[in-house]
Amino acid sequence: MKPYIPLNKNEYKAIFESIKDEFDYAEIFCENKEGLTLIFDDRKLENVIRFVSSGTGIRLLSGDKTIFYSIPSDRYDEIVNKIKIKKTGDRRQETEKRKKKKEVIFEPISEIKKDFSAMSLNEKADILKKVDNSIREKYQDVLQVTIRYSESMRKIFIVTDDENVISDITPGIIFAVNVCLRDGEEIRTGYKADGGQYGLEFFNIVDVHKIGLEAARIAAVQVGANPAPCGRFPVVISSSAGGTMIHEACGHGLEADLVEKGFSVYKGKTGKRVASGKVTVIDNGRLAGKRGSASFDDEGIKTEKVVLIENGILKGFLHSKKTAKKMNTKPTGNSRRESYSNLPIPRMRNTMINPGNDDPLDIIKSVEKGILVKNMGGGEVDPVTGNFVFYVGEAYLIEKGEIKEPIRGAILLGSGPEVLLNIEKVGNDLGFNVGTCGKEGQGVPVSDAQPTILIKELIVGGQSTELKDSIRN
Amino acid sequence: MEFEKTLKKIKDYGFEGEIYYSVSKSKSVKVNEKKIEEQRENIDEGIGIRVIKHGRVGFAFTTGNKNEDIEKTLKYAMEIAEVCESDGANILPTKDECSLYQKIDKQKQWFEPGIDNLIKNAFLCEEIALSLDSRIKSFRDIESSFTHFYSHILNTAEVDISGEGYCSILHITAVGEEKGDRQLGFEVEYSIKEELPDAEKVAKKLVSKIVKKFYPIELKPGKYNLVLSPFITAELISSFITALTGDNIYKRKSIFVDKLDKNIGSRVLNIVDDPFDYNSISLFNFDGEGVPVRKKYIIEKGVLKTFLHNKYSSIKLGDRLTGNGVRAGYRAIPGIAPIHLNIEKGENNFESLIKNVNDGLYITELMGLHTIDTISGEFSIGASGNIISSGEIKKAVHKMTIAGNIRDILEQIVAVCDNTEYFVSGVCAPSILLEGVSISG
Repeated sequence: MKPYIPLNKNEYKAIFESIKDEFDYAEIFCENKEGLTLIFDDRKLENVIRFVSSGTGIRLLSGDKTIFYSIPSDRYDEIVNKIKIKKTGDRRQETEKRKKKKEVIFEPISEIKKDFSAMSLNEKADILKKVDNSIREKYQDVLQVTIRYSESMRKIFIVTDDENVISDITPGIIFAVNVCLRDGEEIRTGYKADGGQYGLEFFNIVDVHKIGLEAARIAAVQVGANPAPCGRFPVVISSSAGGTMIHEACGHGLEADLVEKGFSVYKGKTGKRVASGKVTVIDNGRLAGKRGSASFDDEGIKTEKVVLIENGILKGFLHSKKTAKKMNTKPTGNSRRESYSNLPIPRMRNTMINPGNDDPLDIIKSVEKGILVKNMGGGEVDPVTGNFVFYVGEAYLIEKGEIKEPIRGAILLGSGPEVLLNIEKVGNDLGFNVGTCGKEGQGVPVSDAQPTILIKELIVGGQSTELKDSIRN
Repeated sequence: MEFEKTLKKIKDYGFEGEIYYSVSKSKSVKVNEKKIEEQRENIDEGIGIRVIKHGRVGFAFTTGNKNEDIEKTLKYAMEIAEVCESDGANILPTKDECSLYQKIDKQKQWFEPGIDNLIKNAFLCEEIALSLDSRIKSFRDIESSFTHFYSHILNTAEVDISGEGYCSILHITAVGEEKGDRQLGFEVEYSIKEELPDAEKVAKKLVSKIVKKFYPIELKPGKYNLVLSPFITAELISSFITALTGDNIYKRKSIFVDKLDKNIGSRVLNIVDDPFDYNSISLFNFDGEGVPVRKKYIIEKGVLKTFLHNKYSSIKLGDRLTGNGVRAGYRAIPGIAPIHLNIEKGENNFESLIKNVNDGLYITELMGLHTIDTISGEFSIGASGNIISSGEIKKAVHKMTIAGNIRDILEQIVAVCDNTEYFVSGVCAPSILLEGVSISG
């Protein structure tokens, strides 16, 4: 892969010369993203979209104020002219100017081995068709199979006014399958996705048929299953469910912008116990092939492995340059933007609870009466209170340490901080999930992972017919 | 930009085709603690090209407006069309189908508030919110924005329509604190008039929302009568609207399959798609394919009157066009969605309803709505709100779960109030009363 260099030295120097004197900090961010999405539905290739999305964002900092302009493609002149007109009033503060001139730094984390052009559109469509066939061959009563395959190449070029010039390239593939099976009059749905920062070698690494069959299996488990009971139960979340819980229940609360503004339950808790001693939570941006990885973040800071919680003690947060400055610490390479038209904010990358020492099978055996969750859907969290809601895809009752019948339609409710403190066991395995995280209208690709864990108690919401009549407060 | 030339090229290659061009220019400011945090100006511009040959569709889009980018995009779209499967319903709307556009006359004059007025409005909102209640402590976001947008659709079947409009939005998210309990609240208002959203109104609604949330308790499970806030009514109804779109109906991926002209809800439920509502945010008299929009009842007195269609689904189901081919800008092909969803107001006065309801809960938040299964209708969601006791909205409650089926919920609507509010999501709704809903926690 070659670095993405849309502006040569003279060009970006000229831009800086005309705009930067009135500001403390200036940055040019150029992005070029190209991709292809195939959607296979109703037994045929229903939708194919090919795109090119390219543009520039110029960001200027003056004290605490950020001024930002963005425009598609390379129409820098339009931005520069706008800034020139507004030049008065924002005086530059005294800062040390570093005179070191660097070449473009380009050290991508995930190098692709097989370019996207190595397979024709027909060949790619054929793979989706085959996955659809393999599901229908194995399962009866298939109402719908929807397969979504996306490939993309994101190239960024950042010039900061201390003359750091960085280029980074992140490829991306996601393969997602949604299966609906009939269950009498009703319908049961299963969803499974996999992906990461790969080229077409993805199809050699991952057997996409397994993704499809797993989605179908998750739906099939719900056919004929009883509705989930309501109440408070110990919950085992299997590593196969991935890290949705840690991402939603705790991850957002550890983004420094929310902490700094007082919108996180974790504010002021650095150095304090926020989780059980068995829990270590990290966010690692340097895992090759993982969906949230990058060599540099969207402000040009090198990514790293960030230890957020260590053996239950809160150690740190996910930072951008701005939050790091405000909280008197170093940025962590977690500043991300959905595209050139957005401002960067602290985001997760690949967030996980580290594997522990407990045997996953023993964890299940230790539960007298509870719920085993093997697959999760989406969720929502309020980072101020830490309250969350998750939808469960595949779950079972546990009785006397044994996995019993499957249950359907469950949701899990709880409070992130309480859950972390109530993690009683942490397995020695690890399972990943891929997805797109939304925050303030910006979606970024992420992955999350967890070992099998036992949570002392969660509220399980379901549709059990046995609801007690109440005495209201 | 050479759209006519591009259309001609499309025809020369033996395709039918559609060009969707849009540009939106927005300015926004974010303030906090009486200082300007961010000042932004964005231009989002791009072109989406859809081509069809023998029922095979190809689509590609590009940002910007350069001719060489348009050419490359056209090439990609044609390559894709060669590979896709043929479907006889892939037909573009024609000039005849797109000849009767009803006037939408909501914006008679150009409006440009300028960054300074956006800043002033944001500061005013912050100031008022802080002055209304000392428990309002800090703000996550106070954002005041203005967008001007323009769209142009042309196709080889001689459809050629364009429109422009503007919209201002004021958005505020704040945290309130009372004796150690912290609660988050937000409020968003828009204006399509020649004035910015009313900062005082936004501040008052925000504060009123937050102060109702302090010290929530957990409720014991049971059956309750739920009064939904207008925002929650809008959210709930919107959450299953995809079950009424033509594509999900012909694929039989909906609880409303085979339910046309049948009773699907309470007699007091009337839902209309009305692009011409004077206060609604819909500003174009055409949908994302250039088809004229029109007002129509989706549900009338509980009876399902129509599904929503784009051209493709209308052909699949043999229904007339409804002008609901909504697209998320130039980056997508036309999907299907309401233009402006109006859950029609009823006759009940909200205050009287609250006074007279027994075992009542006032619901102000729902979590997990996006996971509603529109195929089975089943849902399991989190809820928060307030207990209604002695005719008043009182103690806050949280961590409730409501599980059930949309089919039942629609039957359980027993009253519709007259306190309609308009939301930036393109929906307006009043409070509604749901009888006998099971809550667990």
